[in-house]
Amino acid sequence: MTTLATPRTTHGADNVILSVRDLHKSFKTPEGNDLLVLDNITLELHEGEIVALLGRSGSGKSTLLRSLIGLISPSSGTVRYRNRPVTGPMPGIAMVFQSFALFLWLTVLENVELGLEAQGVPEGERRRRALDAIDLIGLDGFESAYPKELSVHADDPGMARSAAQLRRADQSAAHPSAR
Amino acid sequence: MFGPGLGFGNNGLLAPNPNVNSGLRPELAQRFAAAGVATNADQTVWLSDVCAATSGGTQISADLAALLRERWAALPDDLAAACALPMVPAGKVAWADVLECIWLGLMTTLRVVIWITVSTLVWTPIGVWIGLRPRVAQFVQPVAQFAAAFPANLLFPVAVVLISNFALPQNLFQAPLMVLGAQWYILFNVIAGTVAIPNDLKEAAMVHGLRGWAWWRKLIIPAIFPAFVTGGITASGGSWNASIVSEVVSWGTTTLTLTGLGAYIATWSTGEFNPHVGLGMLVMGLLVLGFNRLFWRRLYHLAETRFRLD
Repeated sequence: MTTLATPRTTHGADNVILSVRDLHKSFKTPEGNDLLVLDNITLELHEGEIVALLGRSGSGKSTLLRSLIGLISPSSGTVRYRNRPVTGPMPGIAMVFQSFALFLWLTVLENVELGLEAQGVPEGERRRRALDAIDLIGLDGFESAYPKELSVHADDPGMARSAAQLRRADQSAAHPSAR
Repeated sequence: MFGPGLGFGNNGLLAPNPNVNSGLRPELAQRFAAAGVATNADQTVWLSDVCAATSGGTQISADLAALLRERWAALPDDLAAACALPMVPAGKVAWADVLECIWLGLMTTLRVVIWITVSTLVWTPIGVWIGLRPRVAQFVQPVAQFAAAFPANLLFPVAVVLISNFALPQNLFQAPLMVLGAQWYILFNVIAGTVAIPNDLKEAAMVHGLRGWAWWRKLIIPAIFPAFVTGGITASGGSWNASIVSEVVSWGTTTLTLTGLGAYIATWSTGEFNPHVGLGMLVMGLLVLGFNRLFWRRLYHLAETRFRLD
């Protein structure tokens, strides 16, 4: 169970990006009981802030993140992004998953382009923005590689390096749609 | 090996060489033996055997003459004339039969392809819908597996009654009987494939805003592909088998037949040994093998290399 107080901040209310009010989330256990995971969460994220969320394993960090992004709907309370209620995934918010969550049957480029394609960004612009993101994370040259091939083609075949590359591909997949 | 046989020789169709011991009755075979005609271990007496014992139908003993007069011995009236014609060797099938079998096999292949495609189009969306709902999947999965184990041919008489009473088109209503039992393999493999999609991947697709056809094309179809291929191979193999019992179905005095290799095997499977059943099964085996090599194996390779989730 996570309980957060509103972080003290010097920012004004006008540049609030994400605001959470009285968020509750409980799940039904297989036995039919209610399992309370998030209790009365209220927080605000302001422009330019970098916020880290700390907690024990199982304390509800992922549940909170999933609520913020609209992947799960809260039992009660509201989430607002730029003053619009978050009811489902929306452009502007992205998430880098704990596991790679890469589409292994799509190339690095196709993975990165996926979000842009779904948003209906025209092909030329889509390609340009995706290549920019791939360059940014240092995966240029691997555009047409499949995620599984990254570890094979890496200069350093060590596990740490290939894992890092996969995560960077993942991040770059999430990045363009967040811009 | 057995059967009346057809064959080509001397630039023409050879005269048939029927088994004159119709019904393979042992008592009749013994009487032929007593009359000096060689009988075979499998109770067959070929027309060529009678000709060999009678010098081409010219020297007929009294015992044999008595036998020949009996109608169930199935001998031609003019034995000498029948023996004079070049005859098919005892119990052989001819190239004409092979060609016929291949043609019939292609008809059945077409039927298998069409109905496996229809099953895929029907059960994939339903299976995915179920697979995305773990509670429904938990309930449906054993039901689908039971349906796959249920002997579907028990329901065929119902189809015969309906088709003959309402004069329904056989190609539309009798042909799908071959997938009646096999379709479930597609359903429960699609369910299993959908259940196995990692939650992060589904959420990532949601975050990317994949919807509609893009969601199917980029997430669902590739993710369930290996499971679907497994189901598809099993289901098409099952339909090939079922074609033998579904292309000829009868109930009471009504018999409905579709042109196909399954019907060919079924019609020749009369309880007697004959080479047509062997030929039919050989051709069917080769067609299934060819189909698996040319089609399913390629999909399987693709599934193994490109679409594996681990």
